[in-house]
Amino acid sequence: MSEIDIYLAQLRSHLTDLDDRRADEIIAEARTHLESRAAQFEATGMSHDQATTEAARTFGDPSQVAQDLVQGNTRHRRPVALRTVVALAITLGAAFALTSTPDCWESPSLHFIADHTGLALRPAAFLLVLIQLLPAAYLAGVVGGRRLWWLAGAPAAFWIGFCWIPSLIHGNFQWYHRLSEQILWTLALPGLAGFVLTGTGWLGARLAASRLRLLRRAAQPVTAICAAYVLSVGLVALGRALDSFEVLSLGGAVAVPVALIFVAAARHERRLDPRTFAILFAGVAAAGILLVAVVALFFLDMGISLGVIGQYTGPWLAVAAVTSALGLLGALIYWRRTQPEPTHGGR
Amino acid sequence: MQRDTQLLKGTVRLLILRLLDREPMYGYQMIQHLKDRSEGYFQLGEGALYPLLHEMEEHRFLRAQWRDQEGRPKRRYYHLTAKGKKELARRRETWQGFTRAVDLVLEASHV
Repeated sequence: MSEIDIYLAQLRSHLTDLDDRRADEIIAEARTHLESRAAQFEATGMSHDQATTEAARTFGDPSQVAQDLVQGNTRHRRPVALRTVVALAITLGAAFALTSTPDCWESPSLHFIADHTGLALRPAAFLLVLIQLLPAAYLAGVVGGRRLWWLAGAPAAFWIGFCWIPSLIHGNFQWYHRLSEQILWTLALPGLAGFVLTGTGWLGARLAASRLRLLRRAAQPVTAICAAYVLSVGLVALGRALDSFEVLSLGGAVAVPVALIFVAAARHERRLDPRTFAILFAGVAAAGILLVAVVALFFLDMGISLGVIGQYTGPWLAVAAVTSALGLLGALIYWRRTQPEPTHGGR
Repeated sequence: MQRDTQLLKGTVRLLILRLLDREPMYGYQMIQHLKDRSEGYFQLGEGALYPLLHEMEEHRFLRAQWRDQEGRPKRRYYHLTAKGKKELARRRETWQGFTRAVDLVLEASHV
């Protein structure tokens, strides 16, 4: 990344109050300005690195420039109240969807959390649940930049969803008491997971926008490690649940949102370089393909014919196939972006 | 020559409107023109220009358009609208009235 890229990433990270289209337009306009300015500095005998650094410096402090830009673009500001309502609707809607089956705690994919996952994995399992909501929150423009507070509220929303909504639906407050006993003591753990996730996102953003080159360089590995952690936690939980049929729904529940998160993150944040995205998407694709292979081998080993496997696991295999396709598509898109663009002539 | 940044802030909108009255320009070009035509006096903070341009765009004094350029990146050109022309006339009149009044005071023999 050149100094101009870093400067624009910093500027973009402060424009979260504007709608994406306008923010992107501003960045594109600032880029042409900075490149022209850098070319002018180069013409005076500066090296390329010196010229880009000087061009970024003369443009001004990114947070101050962004603040002025947000003030000057009143018609393009995001409606904060609307986004909050959308985020809450997404959270409660997801909780409602998960709890709307009659035996909500016994049968959905979260079943493995109680029976097949050890204590240490409970926050990780709740982390996965949180992740399921992140893409929607990203697309609603709520998560990202200074809006990460939303994550901290998600566990509470889930608690309400799992405890209160079934009680209201069934008119039986025994649900509330029974579920409360199961969930209350783990309430702190999903909360902690939420804060860890929030903190990781905040740290990655601050590192990427740091003035110190060493910290900026650390941002990529830190973010990639966190992403790898999320994937590995999913796989560990998957392994623990291998004796359960829920493994299939869990696979779909984890892999598709992870792919969507990175699509959404790419659109909103633009902090990871295309190469990292390509690798992550390739991992998602590989996970999807692996899931299909494991399921097929598991049932074939039991002497079940392919036709019967298809009959019973068709929807889940379709989810895995979609995951793989999404992952491959993402990998292809971001890998292509790593190819050098043809350079333009003089300015 | 010493520059008064407050005075510059107050007049920069007028200067931008005047520049664009002659021809559509992009941001970097405006900074260069302001600097050249004022013999280096008006050195506008580069990052400060775009918030002003966008604000005037919001007020519909300006209209912006991306233009392709052969062998170069696209640039965002700003045009003066009819409303912008009226605003220019209004600001110019205000400025001329102001400077005339200041001159009258400065040149008066009895203060």
